[in-house]
Amino acid sequence: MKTSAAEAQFGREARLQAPPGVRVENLTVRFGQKTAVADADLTVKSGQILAMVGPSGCGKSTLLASINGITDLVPGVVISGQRLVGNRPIDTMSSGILRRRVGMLFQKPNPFPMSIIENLEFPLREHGVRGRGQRREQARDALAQVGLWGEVKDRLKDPALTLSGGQQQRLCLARALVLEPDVLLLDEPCSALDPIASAKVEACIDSLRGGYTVVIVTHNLAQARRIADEMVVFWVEHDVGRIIEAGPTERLFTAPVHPTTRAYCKGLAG
Amino acid sequence: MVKTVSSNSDGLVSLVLWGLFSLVTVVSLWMLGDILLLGLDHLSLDFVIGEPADAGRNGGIAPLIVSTLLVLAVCMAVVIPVGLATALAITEFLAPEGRWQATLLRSLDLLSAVPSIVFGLFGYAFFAIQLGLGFSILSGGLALACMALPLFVRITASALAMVPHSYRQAADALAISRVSWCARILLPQSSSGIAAATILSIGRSLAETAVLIFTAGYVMRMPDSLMDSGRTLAVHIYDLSMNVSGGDPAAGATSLVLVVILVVLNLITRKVLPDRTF
Repeated sequence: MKTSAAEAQFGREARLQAPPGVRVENLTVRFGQKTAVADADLTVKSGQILAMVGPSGCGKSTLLASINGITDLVPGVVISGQRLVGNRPIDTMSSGILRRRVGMLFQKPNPFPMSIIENLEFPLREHGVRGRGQRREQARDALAQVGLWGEVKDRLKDPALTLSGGQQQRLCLARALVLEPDVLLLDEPCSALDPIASAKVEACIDSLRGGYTVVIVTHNLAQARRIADEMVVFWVEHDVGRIIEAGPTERLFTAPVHPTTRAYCKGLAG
Repeated sequence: MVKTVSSNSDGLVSLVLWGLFSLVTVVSLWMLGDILLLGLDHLSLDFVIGEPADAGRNGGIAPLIVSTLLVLAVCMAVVIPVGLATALAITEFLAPEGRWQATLLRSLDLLSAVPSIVFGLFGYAFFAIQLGLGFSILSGGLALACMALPLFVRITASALAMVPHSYRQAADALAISRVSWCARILLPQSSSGIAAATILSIGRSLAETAVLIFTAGYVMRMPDSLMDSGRTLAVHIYDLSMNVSGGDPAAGATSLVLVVILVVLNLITRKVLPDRTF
């Protein structure tokens, strides 16, 4: 995906300032007859971590993946409402720019079937980083940022799939970070990992606070409470996913307004 | 009690499976043994490098080996690029499980079930007459390509569809271009399936007679160019055993050469397209 020089600079300039916030207004996503999520409003402040929680099938992942336009690729999808990254509607950005500014991490680690280093250099080449030396440097920085450099620096040419699950997930995070995004979307990034690997990934995510605006879907309420500044609770009402409550994480746990939130956060429902 | 029953039926199932396995192996070995018995005495270096004489009863098969490889080269030079492009178009550019994709896949199934003689007649009418290519190695290779394409596309398309969805998700999220996605991930990940498609197409093409009698002809001379008529090994075997009395030993020896060529091409294909999934 070729990007113009002015726009390619965007990420780096923005790095010096605070990252842009994310806003979703009145978003409804339908797949054919089925409405996955309806009338969702969401605000993530610059540099904060927002957790989306709720039972399976209530539209969290759908909403998450619509922030970088991945949901738009599903055949037969109908999306209405506004999605803004830093006050700019995402429909006004090319998919190359959008995905570069908004990185994503999936539930199951999905490194490309290439070497460790190529997993980072391939996207960089795709986004027009020409110099080999520069690619190496950015790849190294990204690996260091997720605490993987020390573990893999002597085996950069090894297939990425020889890494352990937790290392693969951190490599995927590095692959997203190497493009210098402003926003990161994390779709249950720890749910396929063992507790130790999960803790390492969680520590990485925690370290992103301030530098990136982060939206994370999680089923682990304790995790949400540990890392998220704000939280939104999803629920299924009449077969349609909706946000039933949003606010600062601590308040949702200590003084929830919605009775379902109260039950869910106490582990009585969901 | 229950355990005994299940282990008894397990035993029965494996007995049946082993029986079927042995049956297939025995039949293959029998066929190989038969042509060895028939042709081994006739096979020699002179047979492989010599010119045929006496309608093929004596002499060698060098021109036929050359014709066979030329016809195959023309055929695969069309099948591999066109087939890959078609398979990519079907799996990558048409809506998954959409009407077009389903229709195309179904027509490919139909086409691969069409008897090869129909492709022979089509090739004769279209390439030999309409396009004026006459009885030639070029006509033969092109007609053969029409026959092999549906099979190649069908197998390749299923191989492409087997590439894990998670790679595509990752590529989408990183805005990887479609060309890079195909070149760096999709095709390398499907290489063993593409190899299987190539090997099966080569096998079918080498074994084909009906298509070639109508298009490449059966001249036994060494071809000077692709516009010359040329007899392939399979056509030669057919002719020797059906039309030439006393041709059986030569037919057996020719079959052995054909089997060797098939095995060698098989190994080369596996070498060029190794299984790259790891």
